[in-house]
Amino acid sequence: MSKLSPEAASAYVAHCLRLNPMWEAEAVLAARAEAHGLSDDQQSPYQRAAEEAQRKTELRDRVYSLRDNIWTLPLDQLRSDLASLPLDGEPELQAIAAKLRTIANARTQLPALTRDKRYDADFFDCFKQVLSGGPRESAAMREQVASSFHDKLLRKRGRKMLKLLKREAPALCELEEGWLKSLGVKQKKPAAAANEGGSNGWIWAVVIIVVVQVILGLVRLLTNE
Amino acid sequence: MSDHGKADGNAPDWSLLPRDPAGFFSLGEGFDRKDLKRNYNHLLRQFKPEKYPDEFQRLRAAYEELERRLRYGHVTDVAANVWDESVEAADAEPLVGASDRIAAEATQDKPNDLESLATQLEAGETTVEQLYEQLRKLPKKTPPDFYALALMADATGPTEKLLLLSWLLEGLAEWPGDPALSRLVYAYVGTQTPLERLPQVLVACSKAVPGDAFFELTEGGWDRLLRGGSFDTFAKTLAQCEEPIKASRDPSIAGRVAFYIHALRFALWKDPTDWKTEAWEFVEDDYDQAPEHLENDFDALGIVREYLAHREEFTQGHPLRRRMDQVLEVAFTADQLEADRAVLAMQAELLETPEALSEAFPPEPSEASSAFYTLWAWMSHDTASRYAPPVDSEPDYRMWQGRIIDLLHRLQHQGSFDKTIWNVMAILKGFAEVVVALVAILTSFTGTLFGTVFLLASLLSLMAEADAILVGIPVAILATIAALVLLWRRWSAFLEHRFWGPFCRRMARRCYRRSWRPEFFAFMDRSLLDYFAFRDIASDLADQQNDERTWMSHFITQDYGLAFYSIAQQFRT
Repeated sequence: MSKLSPEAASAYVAHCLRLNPMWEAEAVLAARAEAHGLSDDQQSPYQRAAEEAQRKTELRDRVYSLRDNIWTLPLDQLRSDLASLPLDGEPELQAIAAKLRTIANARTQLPALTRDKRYDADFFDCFKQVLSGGPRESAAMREQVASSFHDKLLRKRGRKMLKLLKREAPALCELEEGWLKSLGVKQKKPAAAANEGGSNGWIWAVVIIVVVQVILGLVRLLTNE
Repeated sequence: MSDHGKADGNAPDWSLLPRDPAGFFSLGEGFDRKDLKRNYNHLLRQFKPEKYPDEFQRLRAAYEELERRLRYGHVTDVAANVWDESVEAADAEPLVGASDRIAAEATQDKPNDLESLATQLEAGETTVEQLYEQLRKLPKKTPPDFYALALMADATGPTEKLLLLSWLLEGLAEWPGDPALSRLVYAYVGTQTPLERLPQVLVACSKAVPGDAFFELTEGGWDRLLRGGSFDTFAKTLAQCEEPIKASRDPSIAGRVAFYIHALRFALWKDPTDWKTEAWEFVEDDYDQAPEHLENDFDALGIVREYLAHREEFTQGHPLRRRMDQVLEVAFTADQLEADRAVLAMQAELLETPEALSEAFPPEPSEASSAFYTLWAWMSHDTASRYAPPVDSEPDYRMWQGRIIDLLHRLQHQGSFDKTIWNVMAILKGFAEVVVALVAILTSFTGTLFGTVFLLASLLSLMAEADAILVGIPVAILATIAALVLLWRRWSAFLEHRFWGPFCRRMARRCYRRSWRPEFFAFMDRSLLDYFAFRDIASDLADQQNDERTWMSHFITQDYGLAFYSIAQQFRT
């Protein structure tokens, strides 16, 4: 590193003299780094970590905002917003963005669903919430729908709607393939609980009968003698 | 600076900085580092660096400062000093020539007005070199003078001479404990001192500040030396630095204890020398001198030591364990950014491959896994506080309880090869009990009957054989009942403990590994329920039943695989 030019030295010193090092020490050193051309890796590691965390949070918030408005945002805006997300090195957010792109592409096919007599608005609302909800909200909704399928009427309506969805919006169904498949499987109602290894009562009934028979036989044998 | 109020309706009171950071963070009486971190994270969400860079800087600086002060045991506010007058006196009277002003203020023993010096430099009324020479000649220099001299020397002299630091240290030697000079030295040593010069700089610091305060002042530099240099250099430099401190006879050792606790966090993992043992002994012996806010840090070091004692056992076996161990080591020894990246990558891998997690952590008690789990949970929680998505709503525990009941019930009745073997053995056990009971009853009955008849009719000739039989039958029945009562309980316990109990345990473990556990992983995956909530619900259910669900609960309780998976789920977006 070489000495600063008189102008650069004056500017650097004047700038730093206006900073209070008691709580602007980082700013003083940032100005010094800039004046002397020091590399950025001499920034405080905590500072870099905090900035990284904030960058990730900011990006995640942008993805979440698109997810929250996936059903209402104009498609062009949605597509351009999704395309503008800098998601390199963020595999989880990339997965959400890919899901949102699939939903965006399928949105145009959805109005056709409502014209079908098998259309079930309640199920479709739940399905939308599963597709565009946060992980916990979607998880709860999946379980609620699965639970409602214990009801025969709801199950019948739901399965009809499932068939309709698979025909009209297969790409959306693929996003929740596992869950939709589990809804299509016939569910057994839990039977009453039984104890481990079943009841041993029958064994003891056999024992008592055998013992009584043997004793009677012995008595008969002895008395006959 | 951007408009504070725009970040949130509940904007903090920025006027409290820098004098009252505790008030700024809304910390009440008796607050600790956890409270500070929670409130700091809350404010961070309001003041993101992209939108509010200035506020973010001030927030971060205030947090780091207060956090360090808590660790080193001084929570009192920074004392009033000359800095505010000096730096913020922008509305001072019209300026005369710089040299006149410096001379005038020197005679009044007042601090120089740095703002006016800056204005003069900008107006071209003087040069940095001229100002430097004038300030240097002052007979009595204030901390702001030393700050200005440090800046000017740094701007005009060769940088390799570290003139900035030299003047700051000179200022600290003359004004021990000045908070602004200390803050700048701390930041400079922690970030901008070239690594190869650090040992020399640290020794220079120990000579300028030869007391317990040295440790706090230079902590950032030691961190860099530990991470960038060799441990040997660290130990030798520290020994050199401690000489003037010992010679100063400063009775306080709280700073040294706090520093050793801080350095041990690294040294326990990386130190090939004996320093860690000596340092640990020093901390243990002088723990009563440690600042109170270090209790958790000390406990954490204890757990690290416990884990390291089992480390070899832990890392043997599945490669995933070794990788998790390496991430834990990075979390304790690397800088925060690198540690965060390693932790996030590992959590993403665990979420992607629950089957590997399941293989790596078989459901059995393990002291090594227990110690590792504690550290892993603590480290993950810390990273999650910065990166995990916020949890908007609490899970509906009642709903999930119902789903867990259904799940355990379904698994209880689900058929499998192991379950079939188990059931067949239960039937065979029943038959064995019947056969043994029959043999016991018959042996006892016939033995007693024949014995009675022989005794009464043949040996003693008291009665006819037929009469003896009539007497013998009730005697034999009573003897059989007595034998059954006396022996059956023992036989049953023997059978249970020696054969049936171990067999059931073995079969339950096989069922758990092959059939039940994958279902539990799948349930955790789709429910995102916390492991402890899942475990407690299963345990409550098992308490009410005495069947396979008791075994399920038993193995869930010792299943670290599920627990690690649950931790990773915090990071799911």
